[in-house]
Amino acid sequence: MKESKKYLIKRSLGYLLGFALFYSPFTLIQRILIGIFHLNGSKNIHGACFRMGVQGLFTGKGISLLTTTGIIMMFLIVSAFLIGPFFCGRLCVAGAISEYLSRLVPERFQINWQKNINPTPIRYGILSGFVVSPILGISVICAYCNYTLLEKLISGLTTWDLAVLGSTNIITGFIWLILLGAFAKGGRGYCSYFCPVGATQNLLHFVGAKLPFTYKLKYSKENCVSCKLCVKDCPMRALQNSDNTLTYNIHNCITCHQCEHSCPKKALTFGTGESNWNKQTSRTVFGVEVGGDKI
Amino acid sequence: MKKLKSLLIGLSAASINIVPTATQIIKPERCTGSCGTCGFSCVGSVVSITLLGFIILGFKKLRTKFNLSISVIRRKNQT
Repeated sequence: MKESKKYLIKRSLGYLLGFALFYSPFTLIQRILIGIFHLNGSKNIHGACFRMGVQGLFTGKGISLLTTTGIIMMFLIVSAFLIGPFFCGRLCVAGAISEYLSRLVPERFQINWQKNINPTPIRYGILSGFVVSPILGISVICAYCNYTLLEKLISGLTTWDLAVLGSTNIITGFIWLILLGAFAKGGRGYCSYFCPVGATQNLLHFVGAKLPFTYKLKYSKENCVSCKLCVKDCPMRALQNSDNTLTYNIHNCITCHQCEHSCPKKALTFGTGESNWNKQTSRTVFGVEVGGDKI
Repeated sequence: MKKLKSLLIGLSAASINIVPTATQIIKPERCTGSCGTCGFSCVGSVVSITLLGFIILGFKKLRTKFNLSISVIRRKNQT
């Protein structure tokens, strides 16, 4: 079996762990924090939700760090800054479901959304709206969130409460799993464009990657044989090939390490130090093109 | 120009995200997403951005096809 396939299976174990840690009926992380450390919080995905913390911060309630939300928020911030969006790449079940679903659909039926429509300004725009709305006294409701939808689907289907399959949920589910999931190249279209948690982590990763001691994707031009396997396997399509140039969009990378395992010559590796992407290419406000090298 | 374009897209996405959700929902975490009494306000942003994406994608495909066909006609005329 190819190393990339092996790694794909290995990665799925992380998502199963993420499911057990964050989703009801298991919610192990919330149970540990509440049961052992006697912290406040709810035993469902809302107990781990980033939005609750952001809403608290911008509505003047503040963030209580000694709650399940506070601890998980700190974990996300620190991990994203030091090693990249670890949660998205290793633990997020919502993103993984659409990604693995897309691997069942032949590529000729799939759209390369990220190549045609740059996800960076849209995802940061969505994040800005998400941050600004509590200041304006507006609530960004959870029904468009695929994390919540997944939990609602699980609880709805286990209790045969089929109301979950109606209304807003069906629209979110269709866009998340079908349009931007199964029929999107990489399968993580919803993550790329609409996930504010991912956008926050990517922003932190972008800042963190400038420091020498943080983990980042490194590129060795000498080892690259232009096979484009990394482009094909990247679930977020952060690596793209345009006009024979390999471009890397750090704002859309979930540091899942799939490209590292797909590369037969180890031209792409994760590590500390300089990223080695060609500094000669343009850097935009949203850092669309962090670096580019001809392949 | 590219920066300005990105900034405008970002601002549009932010306003698209804010405007349809301009509903005061006291306990958003209790939303089950199944009644629709809020007028599906939260999915408005997701649906409109996806629809816009489809339009842009279709336009790009057509433009590529049109440009290609023009170049084929030109080549034929030259020969």
